[in-house]
Amino acid sequence: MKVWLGVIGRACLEFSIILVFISFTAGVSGSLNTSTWNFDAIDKNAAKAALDLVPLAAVFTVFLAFFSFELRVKNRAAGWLGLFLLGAVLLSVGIGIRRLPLVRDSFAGSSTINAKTTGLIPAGTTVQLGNVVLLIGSYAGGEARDAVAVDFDSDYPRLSYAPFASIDPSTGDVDIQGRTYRAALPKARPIVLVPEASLFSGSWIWDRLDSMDHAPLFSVFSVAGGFLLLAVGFRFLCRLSGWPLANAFLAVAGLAGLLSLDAALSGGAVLGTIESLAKRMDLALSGPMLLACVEGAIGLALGAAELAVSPRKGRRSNE
Amino acid sequence: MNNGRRIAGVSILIDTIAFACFLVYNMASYSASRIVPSFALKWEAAEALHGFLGALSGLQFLGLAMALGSSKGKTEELVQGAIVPMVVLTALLAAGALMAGPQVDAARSGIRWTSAAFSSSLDAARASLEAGDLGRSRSELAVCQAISRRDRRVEDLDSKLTAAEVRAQREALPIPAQEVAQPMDPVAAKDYYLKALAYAEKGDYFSANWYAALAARLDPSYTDARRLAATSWEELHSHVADPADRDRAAFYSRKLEGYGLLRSGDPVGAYRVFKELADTEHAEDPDVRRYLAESLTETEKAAFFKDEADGALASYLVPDIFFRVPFGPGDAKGAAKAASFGMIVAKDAAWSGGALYFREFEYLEAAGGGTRALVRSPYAKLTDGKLLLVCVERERPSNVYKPRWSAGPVSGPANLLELPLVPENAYRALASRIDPSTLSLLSEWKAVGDAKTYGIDQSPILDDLLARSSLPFALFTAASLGALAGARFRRRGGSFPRSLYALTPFMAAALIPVFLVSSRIDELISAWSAKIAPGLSCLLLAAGIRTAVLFLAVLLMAGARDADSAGID
Repeated sequence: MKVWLGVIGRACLEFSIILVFISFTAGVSGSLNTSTWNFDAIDKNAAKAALDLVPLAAVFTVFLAFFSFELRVKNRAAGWLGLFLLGAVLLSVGIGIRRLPLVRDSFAGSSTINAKTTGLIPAGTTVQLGNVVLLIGSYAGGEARDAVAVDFDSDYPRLSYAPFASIDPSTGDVDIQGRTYRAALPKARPIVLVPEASLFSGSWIWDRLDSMDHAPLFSVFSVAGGFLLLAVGFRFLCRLSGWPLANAFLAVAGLAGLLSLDAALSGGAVLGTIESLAKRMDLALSGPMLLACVEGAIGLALGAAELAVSPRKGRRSNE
Repeated sequence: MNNGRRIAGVSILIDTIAFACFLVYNMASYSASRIVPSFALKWEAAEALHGFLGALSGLQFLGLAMALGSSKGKTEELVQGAIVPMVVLTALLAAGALMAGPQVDAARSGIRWTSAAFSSSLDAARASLEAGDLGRSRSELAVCQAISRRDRRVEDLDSKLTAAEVRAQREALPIPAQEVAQPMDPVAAKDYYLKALAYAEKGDYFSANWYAALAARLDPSYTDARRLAATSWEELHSHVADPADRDRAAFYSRKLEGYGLLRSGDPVGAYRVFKELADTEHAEDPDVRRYLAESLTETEKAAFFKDEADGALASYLVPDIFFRVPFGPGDAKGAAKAASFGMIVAKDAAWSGGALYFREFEYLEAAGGGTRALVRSPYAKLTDGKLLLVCVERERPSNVYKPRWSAGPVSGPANLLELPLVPENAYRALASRIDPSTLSLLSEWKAVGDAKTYGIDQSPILDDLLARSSLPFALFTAASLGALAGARFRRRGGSFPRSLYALTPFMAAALIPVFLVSSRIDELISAWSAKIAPGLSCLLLAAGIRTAVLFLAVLLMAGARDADSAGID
């Protein structure tokens, strides 16, 4: 029991480190598009990300804990239970904190953290925006002096010049020889650790849980529980081969696979199929609940198979 | 096998296999419509090397992890024994990657742009041939031939175009020569008349007729000159009854015309005349040879040949040219121009033989709210301080590409601009804006200053410098963490079955998500450093952050203990 609790405690510490790391990264990434950088913008973005990315940090922690439980806890059923409990605690705390009125109020309208524009192009420097190159000699009030534009998509000759051109400082629109160009610096490309789930019609688990802030608590816990059961079901990866290093690499791939599988299952087509099957079976459950059931069932099946198929003794490749 | 040899062996083996995989992939995905076939092998090798260098940190992680993950012994002993070989190997790889990277990128960019220019010119040549514009078609085909003469598509088009040109020549009517209006100059007319008189007295009626006719053109009221032209012409005809002499007279007359053009400051016209003579049956004539060479030399001072520009533009192109002319008190006309600003715009530019060649060139000079000079030219050549605006086709000297001035010139001749530009620096600044990774580290460092001088956005150069400076840190961090992972997750007890190496491809594939996430973190460090530290100081900040990350990785590695004895897992 002492070892079992020790592994869970250690995993909680790992969770904190992971959450701080990914939140800080998200905070830095979010602050890139502010007109002037400051720690306040990083703090706000990081705090918001910390709330949003709890499921990601939790599942990462669970995968790391696969190996700790495998190495330290002899009883595999206890290990499985420990993993589930660990994930449940972490996810519940994340969901609970999101629903605190204080937290909810603090982040209401948080999309305004980023500035609308990142400013006008610097005077005296040529800046290429797409196929248009702009140069503004200097700014004076609502006027740009020695404004030059070259549209490399147009036919030769391409150079347009206006000694004095009117400019809208809020949008950066500048008129040069009868054509309007945008002299505003473009927003930096966001750098996120995990890309948008554009490959799937569905969404990542943390995005789905974020969107359920006003849903009944039971639904949210069901969705999180189904996902957690599926994640714990991937525990077999830590003993797949006789080489722990290969198992660790495969677990990393498994983590990416788990997140992708969950996103794919939550997509319209797959979810639609599950819903139509449920209707035929007279199951009156909503889409997210059905998905949670399917994921939970897969996870339990994988866990049961792992417990049944590979006996513990003699298979611990770590020893 | 000792630790050092194992680490080196496994890492090199993994690197070799990875490079081979990249090469095979690039060979399989090669497309002749994208890359000119004559560059295929070079392209595939460059692409494979590019991919390999990009994945080097991931490969280093995998190599170290596998080397230590298949070793026997205590964790701390394995890790301690791995430090020296790991550091040496990683340092060698980092140095190699930093040196080879710009060359690989330069080769890739060169082939890509050259192939794009080839395809574009080939399409234009075909379209021009179909539209009946044989001159344009020949000009575009010349670009293709400069890139890949033996390409089957070029050979096919060349034979079609040659056939069309022969047909066009047969159908063409002789064009009557146009009389060139000469400005009135009685003084020169008298000089020429006296020369003509002297030749007539010597019995050289060819020269007498030519000079007398020239004097009459310069001063139509000069009756003596007209009379002498008429009498010398009659004498010429009375003495040259056979056709051979008439041909000789015509040849002599053309030779004198060329000579006259050369002396009157029209080297391009003179070159055209002597080139025509050399191309007929007078190539061995000593006067033709001498004055052809002289007119060529003079032409090169005031203009340049299109084949030079085509050759340069057929190699590595920098597109979308746009930069400020750095007028300042340092140049001769700086005081006058200090208050003005000038800019150069062109469709593209290429560097060759110490000169910078532009296509679809535009130059604007403005001051005090008005345009002082605005000139456009199809081609331009920048040599030290001089921008030549007249371009001549060497083999068809009648085809001259001239500048068109909408305003100006402010001072000096209309066929060139004298500007305070150093071609090498301008090119470095331009190339660094488009493809900074093709420059060596030293050149890129200099390019940061050049970009400022030429009013070019420094961000792409700084971004690339940040990316390059991250490579050694990434390699060392990956190697440290790889060694740590290998030692921690190695197989305990018994011998290591070689069949487990069959898992390597799966392990490499499994690393891809981690590699992508790590790359994004690295990118984020660069972007954040560039955001908060202006100019070159962002390099210091990024290096500081990366050093901290590396330090943490080394700390983790140094603190590694055997899981069974110390309980660290």
